[in-house]
Amino acid sequence: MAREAEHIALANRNHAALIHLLNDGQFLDWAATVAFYKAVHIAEAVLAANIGHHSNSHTERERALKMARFAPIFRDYSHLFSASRVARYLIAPAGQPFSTFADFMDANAVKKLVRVRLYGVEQASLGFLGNPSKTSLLKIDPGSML
Amino acid sequence: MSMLELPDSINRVELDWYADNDVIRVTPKNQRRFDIQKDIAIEVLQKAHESQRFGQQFGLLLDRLAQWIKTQEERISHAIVTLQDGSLAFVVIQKSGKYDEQFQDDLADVDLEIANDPDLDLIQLKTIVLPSVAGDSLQSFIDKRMVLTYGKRSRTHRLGEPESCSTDPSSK
Repeated sequence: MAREAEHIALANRNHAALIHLLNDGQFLDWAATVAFYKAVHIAEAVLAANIGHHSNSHTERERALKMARFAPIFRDYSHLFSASRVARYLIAPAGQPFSTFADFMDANAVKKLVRVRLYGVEQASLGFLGNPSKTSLLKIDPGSML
Repeated sequence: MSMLELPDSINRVELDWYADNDVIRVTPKNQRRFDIQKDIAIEVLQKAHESQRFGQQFGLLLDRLAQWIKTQEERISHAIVTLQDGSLAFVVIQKSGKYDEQFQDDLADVDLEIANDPDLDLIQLKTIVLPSVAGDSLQSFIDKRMVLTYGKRSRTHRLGEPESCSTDPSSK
């Protein structure tokens, strides 16, 4: 079972991959997915630090994040989860309102997802993390994503 | 939970978990009498009680979701209650094919309300927003064992009212 610091290290690894994908601009579906997985590890760090919880599934994690105290994290996390689910699992025939992830989210929408929602998860989580994690967590710079 | 006050004409039979050696003798309607160990009887009755409560809460949940759908009628194409990863899932399909930030916020709010509602303490629900898709594209999000749709497919049902319940999504 990973601990708080280990989840922060994994969040940082996802952060680096996310910045790379956003700068590249070709794989926005994967950028949304990696953004979600950064949020997953931040959430797991919060749950490990505060209630000693380790989630074995997305469902278990969601259940824990819906506790009233973690609701601000859940509200932003839900956007990342939705976007990553559409990116990973949804495809439809061409000529319909939705066919691929690019119909759902363009580059600006993905950047906003990161700038507002991933940033929101980070900021709402800081109060639940220990000082070493607060310091070591690589954070989104909203100003660089306009 | 408090014990229900019963009229004097009703005889209450009490099963006490701590009465170590008790065995329950049951005489059913067909007179084929049997004995059951008291602890097992209590567990079975607890499960039956929880099952009854779950049924009531599930009905309340469907009403709550129908009310929410009515407030979002302009944005929703249809919605499905199904199963996913061992819990109930509320899959909402937008009319639009694009990400709708406000809609996701609204759904997260109703999700949080349901998760923290003491009247729905047995309900574990996850919510999923999808852009406008239909048919095979939905298969990854639907469990064939339970598909309950809110939608516009039947002329006799309005959006916001449970339309049908089926074990076979192909019948929709």
